Amino acid sequence: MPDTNTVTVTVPPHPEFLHILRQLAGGVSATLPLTIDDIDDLKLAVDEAASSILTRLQGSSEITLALDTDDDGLRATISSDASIDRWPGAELLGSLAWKVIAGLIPEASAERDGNGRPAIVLRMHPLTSDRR
Amino acid sequence: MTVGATGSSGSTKVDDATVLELFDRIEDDPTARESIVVLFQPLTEYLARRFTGRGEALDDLIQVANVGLLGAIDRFDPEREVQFSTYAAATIVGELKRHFRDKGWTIRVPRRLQELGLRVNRLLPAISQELGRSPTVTELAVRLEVDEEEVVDAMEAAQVYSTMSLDAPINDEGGTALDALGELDPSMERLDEWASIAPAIRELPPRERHVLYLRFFRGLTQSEIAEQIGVSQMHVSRILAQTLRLLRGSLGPEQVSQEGAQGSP
Repeated sequence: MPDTNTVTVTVPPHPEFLHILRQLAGGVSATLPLTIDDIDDLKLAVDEAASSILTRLQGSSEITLALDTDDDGLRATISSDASIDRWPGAELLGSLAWKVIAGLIPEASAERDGNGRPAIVLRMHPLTSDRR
Repeated sequence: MTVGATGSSGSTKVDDATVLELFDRIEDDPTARESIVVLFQPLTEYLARRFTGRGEALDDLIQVANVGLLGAIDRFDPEREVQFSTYAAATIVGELKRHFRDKGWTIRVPRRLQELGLRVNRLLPAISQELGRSPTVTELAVRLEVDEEEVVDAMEAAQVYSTMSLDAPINDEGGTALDALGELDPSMERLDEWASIAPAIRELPPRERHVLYLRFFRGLTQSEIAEQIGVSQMHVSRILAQTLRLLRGSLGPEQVSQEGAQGSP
């Protein structure tokens, strides 16, 4: 059974705090056998995902990034306690933000987390450089 | 009584009584607010100048400082003991600092990290070629004989160098990305689909559009793009980050496509 480590940070729902999420994603992913291209893509996608949630939330008081790592790689879950109707809506999935996220991280999905909170989940596998 | 509206470096003095008198009229007289703005221009300029050399044009900084000044005028309470000039200076400096913080820029990158960033930059093309992919942080750390944490810090620091450097050569290779691109660019046609969602894409400089195209439509990695356009991987990373941020900033939620979804990936 794979050993999973989780690092979580919660920030206020303001753009000026998003760089903390980006930096944390960079720091945690650097502990895995991921290439620097992968790490940069993940940071960009976390930024984009958090902004996406931020611009769509209603009455959120926080944005959370949870980074789960195990032998299979990394799972980044960006979620909010906001109430967002119809998540993920066509509006999100048709947006440029989503095209960017999906373009950066092939295994990206918009779902609800265990607590029913709107979330964007990004998965990366170690050295999956099938792009190369 | 007078106060120095430009701090110790300036000679312009603003009469405190004049300012209070303007605040008295501010509710009824729209020109009073403007007069305060004009009176405190030397202060905004002086403070904006203190933030130059960090990659932002002075004009832009003065604009940011003026946002701070307007906020200070709106929130200032003449009943309080504090003088407006003191209150305004604190608000303006706060606005300027926030401006840099919002952009995720640190104020100062330690020399040690700058140097390590340059070493990473020099090493990347060779090691990427050798491995057939970009290296991991561990591989870089081993090769550079530094801690992994230092590599992460250096790469993070490289991300926060000023935007001004985007058009300047950032490594010893010389030449800018634009030189390598030549006349350009078939990418606009392919980016049309994106441009229909985000019209700001049409306004992007050719290089930024080209990098978007290579990353998202050709599926090239950042390292491959770096090689193709003749800049470092970190430079590509910055171009992408800034371009995406720019597009995001110009995209209100109401502007994103209301059309059908593409379905979950």
